[in-house]
Amino acid sequence: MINSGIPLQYFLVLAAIMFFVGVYGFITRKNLITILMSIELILNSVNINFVAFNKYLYPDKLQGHFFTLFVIAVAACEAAVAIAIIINIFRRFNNIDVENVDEMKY
Amino acid sequence: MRLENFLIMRQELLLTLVALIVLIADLAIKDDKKRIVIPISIVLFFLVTVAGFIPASEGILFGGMYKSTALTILMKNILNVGVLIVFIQSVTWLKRDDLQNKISEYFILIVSTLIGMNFMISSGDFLMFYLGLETATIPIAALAAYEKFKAKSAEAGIKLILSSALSSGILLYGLSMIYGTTGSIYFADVAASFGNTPLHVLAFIFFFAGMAFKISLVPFHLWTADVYEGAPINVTSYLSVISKGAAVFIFTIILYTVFSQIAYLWRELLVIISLLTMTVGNLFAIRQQNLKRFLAFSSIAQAGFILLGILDGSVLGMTSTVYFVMIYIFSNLGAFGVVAAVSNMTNKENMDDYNGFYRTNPKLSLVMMLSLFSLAGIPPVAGFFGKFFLFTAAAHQGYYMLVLVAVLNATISLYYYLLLIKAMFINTSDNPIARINSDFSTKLGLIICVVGIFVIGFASPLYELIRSLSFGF
Amino acid sequence: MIEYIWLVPLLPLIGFLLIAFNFKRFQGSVSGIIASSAIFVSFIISLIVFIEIYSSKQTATVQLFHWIKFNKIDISFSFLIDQLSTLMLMIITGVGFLIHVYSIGYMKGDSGFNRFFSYMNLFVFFMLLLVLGSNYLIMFIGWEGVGLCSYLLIGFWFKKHENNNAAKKAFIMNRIGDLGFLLGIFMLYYYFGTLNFNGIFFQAHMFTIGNPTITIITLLLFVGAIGKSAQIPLFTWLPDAMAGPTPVSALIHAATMVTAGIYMIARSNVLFVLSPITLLIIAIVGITTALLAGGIAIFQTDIKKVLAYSTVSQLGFMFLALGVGAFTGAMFHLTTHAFFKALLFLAAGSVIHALNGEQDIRKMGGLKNKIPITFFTFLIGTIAISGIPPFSGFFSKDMILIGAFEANSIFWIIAVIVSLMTTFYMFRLLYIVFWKRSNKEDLHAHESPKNMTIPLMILAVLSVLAGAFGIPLVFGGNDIIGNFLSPIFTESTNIIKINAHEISHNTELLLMFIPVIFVFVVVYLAYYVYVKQKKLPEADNQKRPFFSNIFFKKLYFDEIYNALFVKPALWLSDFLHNIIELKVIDRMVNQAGNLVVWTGKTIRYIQTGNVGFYLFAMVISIILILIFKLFI
Repeated sequence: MINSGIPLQYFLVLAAIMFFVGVYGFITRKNLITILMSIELILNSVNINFVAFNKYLYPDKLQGHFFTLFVIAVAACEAAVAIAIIINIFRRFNNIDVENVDEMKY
Repeated sequence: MRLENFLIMRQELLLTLVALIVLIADLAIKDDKKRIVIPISIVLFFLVTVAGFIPASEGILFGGMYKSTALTILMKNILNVGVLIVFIQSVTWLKRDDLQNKISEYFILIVSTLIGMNFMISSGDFLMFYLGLETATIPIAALAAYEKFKAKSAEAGIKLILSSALSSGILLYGLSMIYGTTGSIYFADVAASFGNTPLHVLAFIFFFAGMAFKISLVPFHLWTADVYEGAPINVTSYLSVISKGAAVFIFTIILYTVFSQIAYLWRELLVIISLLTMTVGNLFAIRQQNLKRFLAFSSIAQAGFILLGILDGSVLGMTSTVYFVMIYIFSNLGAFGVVAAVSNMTNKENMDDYNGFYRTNPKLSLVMMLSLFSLAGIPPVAGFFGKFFLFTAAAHQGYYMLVLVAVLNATISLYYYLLLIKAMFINTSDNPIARINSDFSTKLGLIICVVGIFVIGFASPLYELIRSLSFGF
Repeated sequence: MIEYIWLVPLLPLIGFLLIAFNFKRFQGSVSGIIASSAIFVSFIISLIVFIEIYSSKQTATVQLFHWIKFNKIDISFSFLIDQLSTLMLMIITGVGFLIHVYSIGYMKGDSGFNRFFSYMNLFVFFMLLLVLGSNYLIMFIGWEGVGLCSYLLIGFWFKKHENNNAAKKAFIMNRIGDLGFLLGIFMLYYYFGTLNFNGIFFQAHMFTIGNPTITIITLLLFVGAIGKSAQIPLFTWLPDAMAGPTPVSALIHAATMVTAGIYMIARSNVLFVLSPITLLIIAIVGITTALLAGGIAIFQTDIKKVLAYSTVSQLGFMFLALGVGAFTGAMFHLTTHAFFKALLFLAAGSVIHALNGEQDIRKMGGLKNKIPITFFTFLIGTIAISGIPPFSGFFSKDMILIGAFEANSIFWIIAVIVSLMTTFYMFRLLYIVFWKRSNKEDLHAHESPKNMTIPLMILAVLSVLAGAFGIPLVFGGNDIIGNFLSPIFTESTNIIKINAHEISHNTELLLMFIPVIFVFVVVYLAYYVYVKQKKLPEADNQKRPFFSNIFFKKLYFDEIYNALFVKPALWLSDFLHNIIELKVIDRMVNQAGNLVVWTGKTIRYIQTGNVGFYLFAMVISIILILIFKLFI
């Protein structure tokens, strides 16, 4: 087990910052693609968490690592479907601003 | 591990098989004969549903990741029956010309979400749970955006996938915290070392938010109405019934097994959320004109009632929740079935359009009335018993005030259900919806719902059965 | 025959289904004949059962099927056949049948003819369920069912907006009552572990008199009765319910449904006698309602409204009887009232029919010779309700008055005043409608067809003779109804009687005759004012004396409720719509926008961008929950 001198907290803080940057971007960005990028930030912060926890606290099992692998796979699926829908949105609305996608409300 | 052991997950395997067969069949069939996929899929799915009732052994697979008990088998069977009704109800819609090349897509996507739900219900650790959850969610976004030439459909799709992405992101962050603090993702291990530290509370609330989104509890419900309105109506009924039912099932299981240590914590949270959900759902439903939105808010309110059962935390709570979901499936599918039949024929979805509906379509309006009565919980239809047991469960824990508010809310809900009934039976219109000659499949779907609404109310052995199975928890 | 009792409610249900499924096909009077014959067969069966019960003095529980059965709860779908329920059966099917026959004539040519009869049959079905059920759950199903039918029938002529409002009002007020009833049932189940009448009444002996639990339960049940039987403060729906067709007013809002509250309390008498406080409250609510409604009735100008307030007043009278423990008196008055009030309503319907829909009594007059049968039957009804011997009303009222006197002489005095008010407003109505006034040109009127007048005559005969069942012992009668119902009430009456002082025969005779003398005075008074003086109620917009104005305006109950409940509720929903939905949500988005400006972004990023806002709301709520959970 290599302890390269970077304490666990650093990873956790990094992940937390990434998470909240992601959430913030998610709710403030108006371009759908950028929103999609924000979700990647959130998911990757989770990945960092899992990997860091696994490596530092529970190095004898690989649960965190496997979880990360699956999260990456699922994120890819999610992005694929979302982008497909976004393309369709572009065809219907002629832009991909989240503000314009509000035909239904109240 | 021997090969026979895989039979424990026969439901999922059979469903995967169905999805593959439909996929291959779609490739083999010529373009102008694509409609043959409809009967093929329904018959195959019917066989799977029947096979689900064959007694199966309980067991554990993959070192505890997958767990099958009598109760999960029952839950899966309930969902199967519901999906079968949805399939039968969507035949008319699928026969439309512009959908001809996408028929198999519909079935494959729904079956794959169902596979996800089954895995989710049977999950024994958070990884399996997460995979099931995502498998159950992502294809639904594609389904919501199914009618690709409609802007509203695309809008529903994007709203659903964005909201669900954020909610599962938050849920995942909670899961990572759970992993970090307990060192395991297995339900049993987590339950053993879960406490009341702030980090645990944070993790739990992130998890809760993710689930609340799936069940569309207030204040995580905002996506519901828009998605329900925009999605094709049969997808909406699937979303509001099956998807929500599956989420309720797993939510209950996880609360009861993993988080049983902090029951006092989630109980008071559930009390508040359930109050909010019932009240907000009802208040917003009163003003709705579009029937899909109307039913969306009504189903939000119903979710609030379900929480009454969940918060009991014992066998009684589990039983009444499962029982209620079962009734809810039939009642809501009955209501959606009528709306779908009308919408597919005439494209009319507003309450005003239903003025004088009874004169032109007495049978459909009677079905609608029954379903609404069941949703409102009027005796002697099944919905009454469902609500009755939910209230008993909450009263069992001493939440009398909550039950009182719930009864009040049930009254409010009766008011807006009666608005629709009044529109159909009492109001007149110069231009009522013309007589609808529904085809065999529509009729069959509605008949199943009506029979369900009556039979479940009068068949007390069902409740006993669920109760006896619930002791596994 | 008792084992075939299930046919009694089943036949109206079949009638309902037959008509509902052949909604389009039935032409002419077919549906009316089907509906009437269904009720008629039910009536015959009820009659046979009634005679069996009467002669054998046995009671029976007929079990149809197990309904809900799991661990402790066992609720079966079964009927309780005893003196009380068979008496109600007779009233419902008997009067119901006559009103159905009458309706065939009354509703002739109405576009909703089939719909009308399907609702009526459905109503009878639920009403029978209500009285036959052997536990509170079945009773509640009937209770809700009759409420639903009442709602549908009040709004029967839905084209008029006010009818819909009346239906809505009836519905809401009934729901308030139902809520109390439902809570009462929950509590009963909680404390007794069963909902069966027999089981509960058997266990009730374990409670002492004045037990607070019983008091709360009975008060909750009474709230249900208040809503259904239109007592203060939930009575204002009944006069508005007159918007429905007149036969509906006769059957539902006079003879049967509104008496469900009386029936329920009489049925639960074992519980109610255990709580003197509840009984006192019932008596006070009853007598107050009777007094106020009687006062309002004197100043009304709509023929049906007068009868409606009269019904409220008479129901109050029955509640007084229940409150003082005169259960037999309440049931007896319920029976006679069903006859003469149904008669009065149907006769009023005949008048309205004759005048092509006119209901304002100021535009009537001199109908005595034009529609003689209607006049004659209306006269009999008036005499009966006024309590003039030997008509039925005299005996039933007398039974209540005696009961009131035994409990408290103040009750007796007020009850006599109410009874005199009844006489006054009924004779006022009679004189104004039927006596000729010179300043009026002759009205065009025609007598109603046979199938309307024959039920009137039968009911008139019943109104005269029904008193025979309750001739008190002083007159050498043998109090048939008292003996008949005694198995149900004896125990309870014994508990009540412990405190009451027994009155001598002479006092009893005196108590009977004082009111009768006054009644004749009042009849003459009404004659003097409305025939000799030819006084006519003022036009609506004319200024009235303060006192009379208050009563004409129905004591401003509607206005008060409007200000107290309806306005705030509407305001709240407008508030939710306009402020919360449009302003607050919009503004919240704006505020969030400011937050964005504050962090160096521009406002437009999340302004009304819906998905963005939804997610924002989600995140905010998570944070709120976190704060709530971690720091509070």
